[in-house]
Amino acid sequence: MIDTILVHVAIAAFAAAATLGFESVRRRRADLMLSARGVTGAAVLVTIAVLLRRGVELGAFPVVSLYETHLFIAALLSAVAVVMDMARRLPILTVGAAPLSFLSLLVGALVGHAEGPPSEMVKSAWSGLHVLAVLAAYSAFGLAFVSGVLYLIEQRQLKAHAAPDALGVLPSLETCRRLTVGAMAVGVGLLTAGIVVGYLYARRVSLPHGWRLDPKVWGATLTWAVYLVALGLSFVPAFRGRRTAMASVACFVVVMVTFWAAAFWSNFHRFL
Amino acid sequence: MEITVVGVNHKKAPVELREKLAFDAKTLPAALDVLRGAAASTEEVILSTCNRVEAYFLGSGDEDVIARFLAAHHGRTVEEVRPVLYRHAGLGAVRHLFEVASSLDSMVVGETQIIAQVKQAYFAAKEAGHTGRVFNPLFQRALAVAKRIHSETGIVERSVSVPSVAARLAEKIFQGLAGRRVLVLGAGETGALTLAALRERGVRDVTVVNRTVERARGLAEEAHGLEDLPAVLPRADIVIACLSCERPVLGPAEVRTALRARRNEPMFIIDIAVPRNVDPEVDHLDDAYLFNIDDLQETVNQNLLEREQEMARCAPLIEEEAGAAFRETATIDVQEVLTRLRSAFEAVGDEELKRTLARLESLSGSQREEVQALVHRIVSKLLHPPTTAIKTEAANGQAQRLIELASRLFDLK
Repeated sequence: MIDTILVHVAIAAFAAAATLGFESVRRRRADLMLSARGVTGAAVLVTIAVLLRRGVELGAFPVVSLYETHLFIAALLSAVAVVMDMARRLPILTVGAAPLSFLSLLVGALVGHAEGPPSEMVKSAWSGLHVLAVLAAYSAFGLAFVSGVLYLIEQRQLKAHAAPDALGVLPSLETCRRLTVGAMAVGVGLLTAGIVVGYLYARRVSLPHGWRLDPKVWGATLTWAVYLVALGLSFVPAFRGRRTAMASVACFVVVMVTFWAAAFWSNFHRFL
Repeated sequence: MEITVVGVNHKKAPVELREKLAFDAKTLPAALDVLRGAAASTEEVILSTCNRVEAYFLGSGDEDVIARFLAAHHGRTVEEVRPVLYRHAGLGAVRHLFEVASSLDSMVVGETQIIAQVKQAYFAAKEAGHTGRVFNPLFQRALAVAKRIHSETGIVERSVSVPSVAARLAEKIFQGLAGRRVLVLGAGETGALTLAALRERGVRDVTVVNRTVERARGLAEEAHGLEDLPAVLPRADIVIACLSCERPVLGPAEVRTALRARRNEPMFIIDIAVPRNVDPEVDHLDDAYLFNIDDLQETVNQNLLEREQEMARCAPLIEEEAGAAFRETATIDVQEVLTRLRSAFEAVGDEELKRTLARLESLSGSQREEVQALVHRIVSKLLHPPTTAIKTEAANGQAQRLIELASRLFDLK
């Protein structure tokens, strides 16, 4: 009951943060941006509180189903966005992350958490590390998606000879490009670690034959492959700038498709 | 004594006359001394910028007095100076000061240089001992009001010159301009102004390409002839094109080659030449961002219009602040006059009391105290009506007349 209330509070907070962020950009009000950051931070803390309670309840790393996955991604994405916003003066990250977190949390709440004791497999530190690395990678890819979209919007505006003030709080093209490539690189690194840890753990617990054919394993591998290619191409002169941004947007679609498709069809990644 | 400002600005006088009436830092203290005598004032500030020369003083001078002062100081004639002067007094003077400090009276509304100039003029006068109880809080408030106007309205938000718009655009493409390389095509003044705006934002590495290399060296140490353009173009992050020529010197082929050589790092090209130096087809290249003079000027015009519209939001703020400041200055005068009035009455009372008590030696201690209390009560009751009247008028901002009257009636010094 308490968790349901807290999740609803977090959803409302992310929605409010998204609205405040949008209004701060539209009306050029620094005080609204400050409020957006504060409300986003509060929403992140509430979401983390729900996850901690869930972890205590499960006696394991608190991400064992789609429900917790969405909560985790919502919290991590906005937490990273707010920290980077404050460190690098990029308010647009908070503005971009809050609606994504709202959606993620809403989907999680609609999916709801399954009842019952978790599988013993998830009580291992290996499992926790694997999940943490993979979800952090997806959050990084989410950030790359946001910065890629910002790059494309700004480039289009500049090509249309928009005035600099019309570009508002959009960071420079170079900042967007660096964020995109950096986030993709971090994501690939984390996903590599997550896949390797998952592989080693699967062998350690001697999972039944066929786990290699699990849709989630294939999905993660495919995601890793497309992002690795996109990252490599970002260093090729002909693919810099706009093409890298488009790649970061297209690859994120792959993340979404493989995440959801694999979640419904996976047998080995069900722990409740 | 009224707060007064008399001066000349860009609206009433041409630059040729304004520059002849300007004051410099060295002669300012002596000029303030002369102004004090000329205007019979007790506090003075002279504000001298490229667009205005204004004398603020707490006195009774008018345009004739200040015309003679300015003419004498600068070796001009009164006939030359007098027609272009304007005067504001009282609340009008306070309002004018706040408008000037907030850049609402500037040639380019919203320019931010004026606030530093007002600050400089005030501090120069203060250090020379020409400000006091009235001008110290007034000028400090003017600076605070200017900051309030700048933060609460959009008056300073948008760039209103071609060079500053160009520099803002560069900041939207590159993450910071420090370390960026600029190539200037041509050695004309417009290019120099745009380069100056970029230098203000940290650009240091500048190369100039011009028909005559000697002329190019005036802008930057690294100078080349036109024949070196293909070689130096790839190194440039920002290109300012302002060469006088009939046909474009840069086309898609040249820029594409340069982009390839710099591994498709973006290139920002500002073409402020007429006829244009850069083929418009260059803008179709992915990593080349081309803005010509029309693009930049359109932005400037739009921004100027929006600043003008913002002025409507500033007017009520200025009115509110000016009214409050004026009432406070009136309160300062009022307090001083009331203090002097009371001192004058008490002095008369004490003198008569002393004389009377000297003749009434037979009075007991308590009787003497009774007589003293009587005199003090009489003084207080006599002072009560004029004190109340002056305070009431001060609350309405109308105390000046009564203050002058009280000073004359009771011979207050």
